[in-house]
Amino acid sequence: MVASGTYGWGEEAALLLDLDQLGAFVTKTVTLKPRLGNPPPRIWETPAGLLNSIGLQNEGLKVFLKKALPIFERFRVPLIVSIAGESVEEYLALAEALEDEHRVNALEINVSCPNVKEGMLFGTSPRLTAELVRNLRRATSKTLIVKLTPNTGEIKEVAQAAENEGADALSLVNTFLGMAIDLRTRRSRLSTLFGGLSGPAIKPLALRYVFEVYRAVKVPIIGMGGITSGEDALEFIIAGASAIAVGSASFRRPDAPLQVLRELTSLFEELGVKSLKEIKGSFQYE
Amino acid sequence: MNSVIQARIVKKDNLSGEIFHMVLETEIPLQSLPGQFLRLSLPGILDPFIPRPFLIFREHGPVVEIVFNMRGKFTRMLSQMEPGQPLELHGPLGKPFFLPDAESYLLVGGGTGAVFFSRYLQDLQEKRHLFLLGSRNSSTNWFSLFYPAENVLLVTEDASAGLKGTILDYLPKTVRDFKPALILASGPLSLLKGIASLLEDDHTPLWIVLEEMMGCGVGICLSCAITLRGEEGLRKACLCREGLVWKAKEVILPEP
Repeated sequence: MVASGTYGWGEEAALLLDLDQLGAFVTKTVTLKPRLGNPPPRIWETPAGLLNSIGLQNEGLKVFLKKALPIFERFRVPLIVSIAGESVEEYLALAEALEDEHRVNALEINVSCPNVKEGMLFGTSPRLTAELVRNLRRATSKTLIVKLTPNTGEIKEVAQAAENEGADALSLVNTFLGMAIDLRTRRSRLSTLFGGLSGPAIKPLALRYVFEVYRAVKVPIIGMGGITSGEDALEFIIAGASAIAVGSASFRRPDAPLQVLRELTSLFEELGVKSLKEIKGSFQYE
Repeated sequence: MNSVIQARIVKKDNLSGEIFHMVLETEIPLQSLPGQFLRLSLPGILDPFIPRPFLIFREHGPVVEIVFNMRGKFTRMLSQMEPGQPLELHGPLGKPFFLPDAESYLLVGGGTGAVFFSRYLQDLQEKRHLFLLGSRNSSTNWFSLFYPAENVLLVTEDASAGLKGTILDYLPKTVRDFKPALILASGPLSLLKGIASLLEDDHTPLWIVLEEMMGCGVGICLSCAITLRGEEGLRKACLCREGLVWKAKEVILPEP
Protein backbone atom coordinates (compact mmCIF):
# COMPACT_ATOMS: atom_id res chain seq x y z
CA MET A 1 0.00 0.00 0.00
CA VAL A 2 0.97 3.62 -0.23
CA ALA A 3 0.72 5.66 2.96
CA SER A 4 -1.76 8.51 3.03
CA GLY A 5 -0.30 11.88 2.15
CA THR A 6 2.60 10.47 0.20
CA TYR A 7 1.00 9.76 -3.18
CA GLY A 8 -1.62 12.43 -3.84
CA TRP A 9 -5.23 11.62 -4.70
CA GLY A 10 -4.74 9.46 -7.78
CA GLU A 11 -4.14 11.78 -10.71
CA GLU A 12 -0.34 11.82 -10.43
CA ALA A 13 -0.22 8.28 -9.09
CA ALA A 14 -1.94 6.88 -12.17
CA LEU A 15 0.88 8.34 -14.26
CA LEU A 16 3.60 6.94 -12.03
CA LEU A 17 2.46 3.45 -11.04
CA ASP A 18 0.33 0.61 -12.27
CA LEU A 19 -2.04 1.10 -9.35
CA ASP A 20 -3.42 -2.41 -9.70
CA GLN A 21 -0.12 -3.82 -8.53
CA LEU A 22 -0.71 -2.26 -5.11
CA GLY A 23 -2.58 -3.95 -2.28
CA ALA A 24 -4.52 -0.72 -1.84
CA PHE A 25 -4.26 2.95 -2.69
CA VAL A 26 -4.71 5.36 0.21
CA THR A 27 -5.44 8.94 -0.81
CA LYS A 28 -3.98 12.02 0.73
CA THR A 29 -6.46 13.33 3.27
CA VAL A 30 -9.65 14.89 1.96
CA THR A 31 -11.44 17.55 4.01
CA LEU A 32 -14.95 18.94 3.59
CA LYS A 33 -13.76 22.38 2.46
CA PRO A 34 -10.70 23.13 0.31
CA ARG A 35 -7.51 23.94 2.23
CA LEU A 36 -4.52 25.86 0.86
CA GLY A 37 -2.22 24.25 3.43
CA ASN A 38 0.76 25.87 5.13
CA PRO A 39 3.14 28.41 3.56
CA PRO A 40 6.68 27.36 2.55
CA PRO A 41 9.06 26.04 3.69
CA ARG A 42 7.00 22.91 4.15
CA ILE A 43 9.81 20.42 4.28
CA TRP A 44 13.17 20.06 5.98
CA GLU A 45 15.46 17.09 5.82
CA THR A 46 17.00 15.73 9.01
CA PRO A 47 19.37 12.75 9.35
CA ALA A 48 17.71 9.89 7.44
CA GLY A 49 14.40 11.63 7.93
CA LEU A 50 12.07 14.26 6.73
CA LEU A 51 10.14 16.92 8.64
CA ASN A 52 7.05 18.08 6.81
CA SER A 53 4.35 20.57 7.44
CA ILE A 54 2.02 20.51 4.46
CA GLY A 55 -1.08 21.36 6.49
CA LEU A 56 -3.62 19.09 4.77
CA GLN A 57 -3.60 20.98 1.48
CA ASN A 58 -6.44 19.60 -0.63
CA GLU A 59 -9.18 20.84 -2.91
CA GLY A 60 -11.98 19.62 -0.70
CA LEU A 61 -14.56 16.85 -0.99
CA LYS A 62 -16.44 18.27 -3.98
CA VAL A 63 -13.40 18.47 -6.24
CA PHE A 64 -12.17 15.08 -5.00
CA LEU A 65 -15.43 13.44 -6.04
CA LYS A 66 -15.40 15.13 -9.42
CA LYS A 67 -11.74 15.03 -10.33
CA ALA A 68 -9.91 12.27 -8.47
CA LEU A 69 -12.47 9.55 -7.82
CA PRO A 70 -13.30 8.84 -11.52
CA ILE A 71 -9.62 7.98 -12.12
CA PHE A 72 -10.13 4.81 -10.10
CA GLU A 73 -12.82 3.53 -12.47
CA ARG A 74 -9.89 2.48 -14.67
CA PHE A 75 -8.34 0.38 -11.91
CA ARG A 76 -9.30 -2.53 -9.70
CA VAL A 77 -7.07 -1.54 -6.79
CA PRO A 78 -8.94 -1.24 -3.47
CA LEU A 79 -9.37 2.44 -2.74
CA ILE A 80 -9.05 3.84 0.76
CA VAL A 81 -10.02 7.47 1.18
CA SER A 82 -8.36 9.31 4.04
CA ILE A 83 -10.65 11.88 5.66
CA ALA A 84 -10.19 14.51 8.35
CA GLY A 85 -12.51 17.00 9.98
CA GLU A 86 -12.40 19.62 12.69
CA SER A 87 -15.46 18.18 14.41
CA VAL A 88 -17.39 14.91 14.62
CA GLU A 89 -19.99 16.51 12.34
CA GLU A 90 -17.41 17.18 9.63
CA TYR A 91 -16.12 13.60 9.74
CA LEU A 92 -19.69 12.37 9.51
CA ALA A 93 -20.48 14.61 6.54
CA LEU A 94 -17.45 13.20 4.73
CA ALA A 95 -18.35 9.60 5.54
CA GLU A 96 -21.95 10.12 4.43
CA ALA A 97 -20.88 11.72 1.15
CA LEU A 98 -18.62 8.77 0.40
CA GLU A 99 -21.07 6.08 1.51
CA ASP A 100 -22.72 5.64 -1.89
CA GLU A 101 -19.53 5.87 -3.92
CA HIS A 102 -19.10 2.30 -5.11
CA ARG A 103 -15.40 2.82 -5.91
CA VAL A 104 -14.54 3.67 -2.30
CA ASN A 105 -13.74 0.48 -0.38
CA ALA A 106 -12.67 1.94 2.91
CA LEU A 107 -12.27 5.12 4.90
CA GLU A 108 -9.10 5.89 6.76
CA ILE A 109 -9.88 8.25 9.59
CA ASN A 110 -7.06 10.72 10.00
CA VAL A 111 -7.15 11.66 13.66
CA SER A 112 -3.46 12.28 13.74
CA CYS A 113 -2.33 15.09 11.45
CA PRO A 114 0.28 17.02 13.43
CA ASN A 115 0.34 20.00 11.07
CA VAL A 116 -3.05 21.56 11.51
CA LYS A 117 -4.53 23.14 14.61
CA GLU A 118 -6.40 20.48 16.55
CA GLY A 119 -5.47 17.89 13.90
CA MET A 120 -4.23 15.46 16.52
CA LEU A 121 -6.89 16.29 19.05
CA PHE A 122 -9.05 13.21 18.46
CA GLY A 123 -6.14 10.81 18.07
CA THR A 124 -4.42 11.67 21.32
CA SER A 125 -7.45 10.93 23.46
CA PRO A 126 -9.06 7.49 23.87
CA ARG A 127 -12.34 9.17 24.87
CA LEU A 128 -12.55 11.44 21.81
CA THR A 129 -11.46 8.63 19.48
CA ALA A 130 -14.18 6.39 20.91
CA GLU A 131 -16.82 9.05 20.40
CA LEU A 132 -15.72 9.71 16.81
CA VAL A 133 -15.49 6.05 15.80
CA ARG A 134 -18.84 5.27 17.44
CA ASN A 135 -20.51 7.96 15.32
CA LEU A 136 -18.70 7.00 12.14
CA ARG A 137 -19.50 3.32 12.60
CA ARG A 138 -23.19 4.20 12.52
CA ALA A 139 -22.74 6.41 9.47
CA THR A 140 -20.78 4.12 7.19
CA SER A 141 -20.87 0.55 5.96
CA LYS A 142 -17.42 0.92 4.45
CA THR A 143 -14.38 -0.66 6.03
CA LEU A 144 -13.33 1.74 8.77
CA ILE A 145 -9.62 2.23 9.41
CA VAL A 146 -8.30 4.54 12.12
CA LYS A 147 -4.87 6.07 11.61
CA LEU A 148 -3.09 6.44 14.91
CA THR A 149 -0.67 9.10 16.03
CA PRO A 150 2.46 8.21 17.98
CA ASN A 151 2.27 11.64 19.63
CA THR A 152 0.37 10.40 22.66
CA GLY A 153 1.25 8.49 25.77
CA GLU A 154 -1.88 6.41 25.32
CA ILE A 155 -1.58 4.82 21.88
CA LYS A 156 -2.67 1.40 23.17
CA GLU A 157 -5.73 2.92 24.85
CA VAL A 158 -6.59 4.90 21.70
CA ALA A 159 -6.20 1.71 19.63
CA GLN A 160 -8.46 -0.25 21.99
CA ALA A 161 -11.03 2.55 22.02
CA ALA A 162 -11.17 2.47 18.21
CA GLU A 163 -11.47 -1.30 18.19
CA ASN A 164 -14.21 -1.35 20.82
CA GLU A 165 -16.29 1.13 18.85
CA GLY A 166 -16.14 -0.91 15.67
CA ALA A 167 -13.02 0.08 13.75
CA ASP A 168 -12.14 -2.67 11.28
CA ALA A 169 -8.43 -1.97 11.18
CA LEU A 170 -5.76 0.39 12.47
CA SER A 171 -3.04 2.23 10.56
CA LEU A 172 0.11 3.14 12.40
CA VAL A 173 1.99 5.29 12.69
CA ASN A 174 1.46 8.81 11.48
CA THR A 175 4.47 11.15 11.73
CA PHE A 176 6.29 12.05 14.93
CA LEU A 177 6.09 15.67 15.97
CA GLY A 178 9.53 17.23 15.63
CA MET A 179 11.35 20.47 14.99
CA ALA A 180 14.49 21.94 13.42
CA ILE A 181 16.04 25.32 14.12
CA ASP A 182 17.86 27.68 11.74
CA LEU A 183 20.91 28.75 13.77
CA ARG A 184 21.22 32.17 12.17
CA THR A 185 17.62 33.32 12.45
CA ARG A 186 16.86 31.10 15.48
CA ARG A 187 13.56 30.37 13.83
CA SER A 188 11.96 27.13 12.74
CA ARG A 189 13.22 25.62 9.51
CA LEU A 190 9.56 25.19 8.61
CA SER A 191 6.89 27.84 8.31
CA THR A 192 5.25 26.26 11.36
CA LEU A 193 6.86 25.60 14.73
CA PHE A 194 6.73 21.84 14.39
CA GLY A 195 6.53 19.33 11.61
CA GLY A 196 5.91 15.62 11.27
CA LEU A 197 8.99 13.42 11.09
CA SER A 198 8.99 10.48 8.70
CA GLY A 199 11.57 8.38 6.87
CA PRO A 200 14.08 5.71 7.97
CA ALA A 201 14.84 7.73 11.12
CA ILE A 202 11.49 6.73 12.65
CA LYS A 203 11.49 3.06 11.67
CA PRO A 204 12.55 1.60 15.03
CA LEU A 205 10.01 3.79 16.84
CA ALA A 206 7.19 2.89 14.47
CA LEU A 207 8.05 -0.80 14.73
CA ARG A 208 7.80 -0.67 18.50
CA TYR A 209 4.35 0.93 18.32
CA VAL A 210 3.14 -1.68 15.85
CA PHE A 211 4.32 -4.44 18.17
CA GLU A 212 2.76 -2.87 21.26
CA VAL A 213 -0.56 -2.19 19.58
CA TYR A 214 -0.57 -5.69 18.05
CA ARG A 215 -0.43 -7.13 21.55
CA ALA A 216 -3.29 -4.89 22.67
CA VAL A 217 -5.88 -5.39 19.91
CA LYS A 218 -7.34 -8.06 17.64
CA VAL A 219 -8.12 -6.01 14.53
CA PRO A 220 -5.59 -6.04 11.69
CA ILE A 221 -2.81 -3.46 11.63
CA ILE A 222 -1.44 -1.62 8.63
CA GLY A 223 2.16 -0.97 9.61
CA MET A 224 4.19 1.98 8.36
CA GLY A 225 7.00 4.30 9.31
CA GLY A 226 10.28 4.55 7.45
CA ILE A 227 9.94 1.40 5.35
CA THR A 228 12.33 1.48 2.38
CA SER A 229 13.00 -2.21 1.70
CA GLY A 230 11.53 -5.67 1.80
CA GLU A 231 13.53 -6.34 4.96
CA ASP A 232 11.97 -3.35 6.68
CA ALA A 233 8.52 -4.52 5.60
CA LEU A 234 9.11 -8.01 6.97
CA GLU A 235 10.14 -6.60 10.34
CA PHE A 236 6.76 -4.87 10.59
CA ILE A 237 4.96 -8.07 9.62
CA ILE A 238 6.84 -10.10 12.23
CA ALA A 239 5.96 -7.40 14.77
CA GLY A 240 2.28 -7.90 13.93
CA ALA A 241 1.32 -5.93 10.82
CA SER A 242 -1.16 -7.58 8.42
CA ALA A 243 -0.32 -5.09 5.69
CA ILE A 244 2.37 -2.53 5.21
CA ALA A 245 2.43 0.91 3.66
CA VAL A 246 5.32 2.77 2.09
CA GLY A 247 5.45 6.52 2.65
CA SER A 248 8.42 8.83 2.32
CA ALA A 249 10.39 6.23 0.34
CA SER A 250 8.17 7.11 -2.62
CA PHE A 251 9.71 10.59 -2.52
CA ARG A 252 13.08 9.01 -3.18
CA ARG A 253 11.76 6.97 -6.08
CA PRO A 254 8.09 6.80 -7.05
CA ASP A 255 8.21 3.06 -7.67
CA ALA A 256 9.35 2.40 -4.08
CA PRO A 257 6.08 0.67 -3.02
CA LEU A 258 6.41 -1.86 -5.85
CA GLN A 259 10.11 -2.27 -5.22
CA VAL A 260 9.43 -3.05 -1.54
CA LEU A 261 6.76 -5.54 -2.62
CA ARG A 262 9.18 -7.28 -5.02
CA GLU A 263 11.85 -7.48 -2.34
CA LEU A 264 9.36 -8.80 0.19
CA THR A 265 8.21 -11.51 -2.23
CA SER A 266 11.75 -12.74 -2.82
CA LEU A 267 12.46 -12.54 0.91
CA PHE A 268 9.47 -14.84 1.53
CA GLU A 269 10.92 -17.29 -0.98
CA GLU A 270 14.39 -17.04 0.51
CA LEU A 271 13.13 -17.70 4.05
CA GLY A 272 10.68 -20.38 2.91
CA VAL A 273 7.67 -18.36 4.11
CA LYS A 274 4.54 -19.44 2.26
CA SER A 275 2.06 -16.82 3.38
CA LEU A 276 1.95 -13.58 5.26
CA LYS A 277 -0.39 -15.18 7.79
CA GLU A 278 2.25 -17.73 8.68
CA ILE A 279 4.82 -15.13 9.70
CA LYS A 280 2.58 -12.29 10.91
CA GLY A 281 3.10 -11.50 14.57
CA SER A 282 5.66 -14.28 14.93
CA PHE A 283 8.08 -12.13 16.90
CA GLN A 284 9.80 -14.28 19.54
CA TYR A 285 10.14 -12.53 22.85
CA GLU A 286 9.60 -14.87 25.68
CA MET B 1 10.15 9.41 -14.28
CA ASN B 2 8.67 6.72 -12.04
CA SER B 3 11.96 5.02 -11.40
CA VAL B 4 15.61 5.93 -11.07
CA ILE B 5 18.37 5.65 -13.65
CA GLN B 6 21.79 4.36 -12.64
CA ALA B 7 24.53 6.84 -13.42
CA ARG B 8 28.28 7.13 -12.97
CA ILE B 9 30.48 10.17 -12.52
CA VAL B 10 32.70 10.68 -15.55
CA LYS B 11 34.29 13.98 -14.66
CA LYS B 12 34.23 16.51 -11.86
CA ASP B 13 35.74 19.99 -12.00
CA ASN B 14 35.90 22.67 -9.39
CA LEU B 15 35.17 25.63 -11.65
CA SER B 16 35.83 28.30 -9.08
CA GLY B 17 35.27 28.72 -5.37
CA GLU B 18 32.42 26.45 -4.42
CA ILE B 19 31.06 25.93 -7.93
CA PHE B 20 31.41 22.49 -9.46
CA HIS B 21 30.81 21.09 -12.92
CA MET B 22 30.01 17.40 -13.08
CA VAL B 23 29.62 15.08 -16.05
CA LEU B 24 27.53 11.94 -15.57
CA GLU B 25 27.05 8.96 -17.79
CA THR B 26 23.63 7.35 -17.52
CA GLU B 27 22.69 3.73 -18.10
CA ILE B 28 19.95 4.88 -20.48
CA PRO B 29 19.64 8.36 -22.02
CA LEU B 30 17.70 10.77 -19.83
CA GLN B 31 16.09 12.45 -22.86
CA SER B 32 15.21 15.65 -21.08
CA LEU B 33 13.74 18.69 -22.79
CA PRO B 34 14.75 22.31 -22.11
CA GLY B 35 13.44 23.56 -18.80
CA GLN B 36 13.39 20.15 -17.14
CA PHE B 37 15.46 19.13 -14.16
CA LEU B 38 16.75 15.98 -12.49
CA ARG B 39 17.33 14.71 -8.96
CA LEU B 40 20.36 12.89 -7.65
CA SER B 41 20.74 10.50 -4.76
CA LEU B 42 23.46 8.25 -3.42
CA PRO B 43 22.64 4.58 -4.07
CA GLY B 44 22.03 2.57 -0.91
CA ILE B 45 22.62 5.57 1.36
CA LEU B 46 19.68 6.62 3.50
CA ASP B 47 21.26 9.80 4.83
CA PRO B 48 20.84 12.11 2.95
CA PHE B 49 17.50 10.50 2.23
CA ILE B 50 15.75 12.81 -0.20
CA PRO B 51 17.28 13.24 -3.66
CA ARG B 52 18.36 16.79 -4.48
CA PRO B 53 17.11 18.65 -7.54
CA PHE B 54 19.58 20.02 -10.09
CA LEU B 55 19.13 22.08 -13.23
CA ILE B 56 20.37 20.25 -16.30
CA PHE B 57 23.29 22.15 -17.75
CA ARG B 58 23.70 20.07 -20.90
CA GLU B 59 22.63 16.67 -22.18
CA HIS B 60 23.82 14.69 -25.16
CA GLY B 61 23.18 10.97 -25.57
CA PRO B 62 23.82 9.15 -22.30
CA VAL B 63 25.81 12.09 -20.91
CA VAL B 64 24.32 14.66 -18.56
CA GLU B 65 26.11 17.68 -17.15
CA ILE B 66 25.28 19.71 -14.07
CA VAL B 67 26.78 22.82 -12.51
CA PHE B 68 26.17 23.19 -8.79
CA ASN B 69 27.02 25.31 -5.83
CA MET B 70 28.35 23.48 -2.76
CA ARG B 71 25.88 24.65 -0.15
CA GLY B 72 24.68 21.87 2.12
CA LYS B 73 25.33 18.32 3.21
CA PHE B 74 24.40 16.67 -0.07
CA THR B 75 26.30 19.02 -2.38
CA ARG B 76 29.36 18.79 -0.13
CA MET B 77 29.28 14.99 -0.42
CA LEU B 78 28.76 15.28 -4.16
CA SER B 79 31.68 17.66 -4.51
CA GLN B 80 33.94 15.11 -2.81
CA MET B 81 32.97 12.22 -5.08
CA GLU B 82 35.31 11.02 -7.77
CA PRO B 83 34.96 9.76 -11.35
CA GLY B 84 33.71 6.18 -11.46
CA GLN B 85 31.45 6.52 -8.42
CA PRO B 86 27.75 5.66 -8.87
CA LEU B 87 24.77 7.95 -8.44
CA GLU B 88 21.04 7.42 -8.84
CA LEU B 89 19.34 9.84 -11.15
CA HIS B 90 15.62 10.62 -11.16
CA GLY B 91 14.21 12.42 -14.15
CA PRO B 92 13.54 14.12 -16.42
CA LEU B 93 11.25 16.13 -14.15
CA GLY B 94 9.24 19.31 -14.50
CA LYS B 95 7.40 20.80 -17.44
CA PRO B 96 9.52 21.46 -20.53
CA PHE B 97 9.89 25.16 -21.30
CA PHE B 98 10.54 26.55 -24.76
CA LEU B 99 11.38 30.23 -25.15
CA PRO B 100 8.21 32.08 -26.15
CA ASP B 101 8.68 33.74 -29.51
CA ALA B 102 9.95 37.29 -29.09
CA GLU B 103 12.08 39.88 -30.86
CA SER B 104 14.69 40.01 -28.15
CA TYR B 105 15.49 38.46 -24.81
CA LEU B 106 17.06 39.64 -21.59
CA LEU B 107 18.25 36.73 -19.46
CA VAL B 108 18.91 37.64 -15.86
CA GLY B 109 20.78 35.08 -13.81
CA GLY B 110 22.06 35.08 -10.26
CA GLY B 111 24.70 32.52 -9.23
CA THR B 112 24.07 28.97 -10.40
CA GLY B 113 20.51 29.98 -11.34
CA ALA B 114 22.04 30.96 -14.68
CA VAL B 115 22.60 27.26 -15.43
CA PHE B 116 19.00 27.28 -16.59
CA PHE B 117 19.87 29.35 -19.69
CA SER B 118 22.39 26.91 -21.13
CA ARG B 119 19.72 24.86 -22.87
CA TYR B 120 18.64 27.90 -24.89
CA LEU B 121 22.01 29.05 -26.20
CA GLN B 122 21.34 27.69 -29.66
CA ASP B 123 17.85 29.26 -29.92
CA LEU B 124 19.28 32.56 -28.76
CA GLN B 125 22.00 32.67 -31.40
CA GLU B 126 19.53 33.89 -34.00
CA LYS B 127 17.91 36.46 -31.73
CA ARG B 128 18.99 39.72 -30.18
CA HIS B 129 19.78 38.83 -26.59
CA LEU B 130 21.69 39.91 -23.53
CA PHE B 131 22.68 38.10 -20.38
CA LEU B 132 22.76 40.10 -17.16
CA LEU B 133 24.64 37.80 -14.80
CA GLY B 134 25.66 38.43 -11.25
CA SER B 135 27.66 36.77 -8.54
CA ARG B 136 29.20 37.78 -5.23
CA ASN B 137 32.77 37.85 -6.53
CA SER B 138 34.99 36.50 -9.27
CA SER B 139 35.40 33.19 -7.43
CA THR B 140 31.73 32.42 -8.02
CA ASN B 141 31.84 33.67 -11.60
CA TRP B 142 31.58 30.48 -13.60
CA PHE B 143 29.57 32.05 -16.39
CA SER B 144 32.55 33.31 -18.38
CA LEU B 145 33.52 29.72 -19.06
CA PHE B 146 30.31 29.01 -20.93
CA TYR B 147 28.45 32.11 -22.04
CA PRO B 148 29.72 34.15 -25.01
CA ALA B 149 31.34 37.31 -23.60
CA GLU B 150 29.98 39.70 -26.21
CA ASN B 151 26.41 39.19 -24.96
CA VAL B 152 27.13 39.19 -21.25
CA LEU B 153 26.87 42.02 -18.79
CA LEU B 154 28.64 40.66 -15.74
CA VAL B 155 28.37 42.20 -12.29
CA THR B 156 30.03 41.24 -9.02
CA GLU B 157 29.50 42.79 -5.62
CA ASP B 158 33.23 43.48 -5.17
CA ALA B 159 34.06 44.34 -8.81
CA SER B 160 36.50 41.41 -8.96
CA ALA B 161 34.97 40.55 -12.33
CA GLY B 162 32.86 42.79 -14.54
CA LEU B 163 31.03 45.79 -13.13
CA LYS B 164 30.72 46.53 -9.42
CA GLY B 165 27.32 46.06 -7.87
CA THR B 166 24.34 43.76 -7.93
CA ILE B 167 21.98 42.69 -10.66
CA LEU B 168 19.28 44.88 -9.16
CA ASP B 169 21.57 47.95 -9.41
CA TYR B 170 21.89 47.48 -13.16
CA LEU B 171 18.50 46.04 -14.07
CA PRO B 172 16.45 49.24 -14.63
CA LYS B 173 19.09 50.83 -16.86
CA THR B 174 19.64 47.58 -18.78
CA VAL B 175 15.93 47.25 -19.46
CA ARG B 176 15.75 50.93 -20.56
CA ASP B 177 18.75 50.66 -22.89
CA PHE B 178 18.32 47.15 -24.28
CA LYS B 179 14.51 47.25 -24.50
CA PRO B 180 13.96 43.48 -24.38
CA ALA B 181 10.71 42.00 -25.65
CA LEU B 182 10.90 39.31 -22.97
CA ILE B 183 12.77 38.85 -19.71
CA LEU B 184 13.62 35.46 -18.21
CA ALA B 185 15.11 35.48 -14.72
CA SER B 186 16.64 32.63 -12.73
CA GLY B 187 18.34 32.78 -9.36
CA PRO B 188 17.69 33.01 -5.63
CA LEU B 189 14.20 33.95 -4.47
CA SER B 190 15.39 37.27 -3.01
CA LEU B 191 16.74 38.24 -6.45
CA LEU B 192 13.54 37.22 -8.22
CA LYS B 193 11.48 39.18 -5.73
CA GLY B 194 13.70 42.21 -6.30
CA ILE B 195 13.38 41.91 -10.06
CA ALA B 196 9.61 41.51 -9.91
CA SER B 197 9.26 44.55 -7.72
CA LEU B 198 11.61 46.73 -9.83
CA LEU B 199 9.71 45.79 -12.96
CA GLU B 200 6.24 46.01 -11.44
CA ASP B 201 5.20 48.90 -13.69
CA ASP B 202 7.14 47.68 -16.71
CA HIS B 203 5.10 45.95 -19.39
CA THR B 204 7.80 43.62 -20.65
CA PRO B 205 6.66 40.03 -20.06
CA LEU B 206 8.68 38.65 -17.15
CA TRP B 207 9.16 34.91 -16.71
CA ILE B 208 10.85 33.52 -13.63
CA VAL B 209 12.47 30.18 -12.83
CA LEU B 210 11.52 29.19 -9.29
CA GLU B 211 13.31 26.80 -6.98
CA GLU B 212 11.95 25.48 -3.70
CA MET B 213 12.78 22.66 -1.32
CA MET B 214 11.34 19.54 -2.92
CA GLY B 215 10.33 16.18 -1.51
CA CYS B 216 9.37 14.03 -4.47
CA GLY B 217 9.92 15.86 -7.76
CA VAL B 218 6.71 14.48 -9.25
CA GLY B 219 3.86 16.32 -7.51
CA ILE B 220 2.84 13.79 -4.86
CA CYS B 221 4.26 15.24 -1.64
CA LEU B 222 3.10 18.87 -2.06
CA SER B 223 6.22 20.21 -0.35
CA CYS B 224 7.06 22.68 -3.11
CA ALA B 225 3.55 24.05 -3.56
CA ILE B 226 3.44 27.70 -4.61
CA THR B 227 0.46 30.02 -4.69
CA LEU B 228 -0.88 31.14 -8.07
CA ARG B 229 -3.42 33.81 -8.95
CA GLY B 230 -5.94 31.82 -10.97
CA GLU B 231 -9.15 32.83 -12.69
CA GLU B 232 -11.13 31.40 -9.80
CA GLY B 233 -9.00 32.88 -7.05
CA LEU B 234 -5.86 31.52 -5.46
CA ARG B 235 -4.72 28.03 -6.23
CA LYS B 236 -1.76 25.89 -5.25
CA ALA B 237 0.55 24.29 -7.77
CA CYS B 238 3.51 21.97 -7.31
CA LEU B 239 6.62 23.71 -8.54
CA CYS B 240 8.17 20.39 -9.51
CA ARG B 241 5.29 19.31 -11.71
CA GLU B 242 3.94 22.52 -13.24
CA GLY B 243 7.23 24.49 -13.13
CA LEU B 244 9.96 25.45 -13.02
CA VAL B 245 9.06 28.49 -15.16
CA TRP B 246 6.22 30.87 -14.39
CA LYS B 247 4.86 34.18 -15.55
CA ALA B 248 5.90 36.47 -12.72
CA LYS B 249 2.48 38.11 -12.55
CA GLU B 250 0.75 34.77 -11.92
CA VAL B 251 2.80 33.81 -8.89
CA ILE B 252 2.57 35.08 -5.34
CA LEU B 253 6.21 34.83 -4.37
CA PRO B 254 6.85 33.45 -0.89
CA GLU B 255 8.93 35.32 1.67
CA PRO B 256 12.64 34.51 1.14
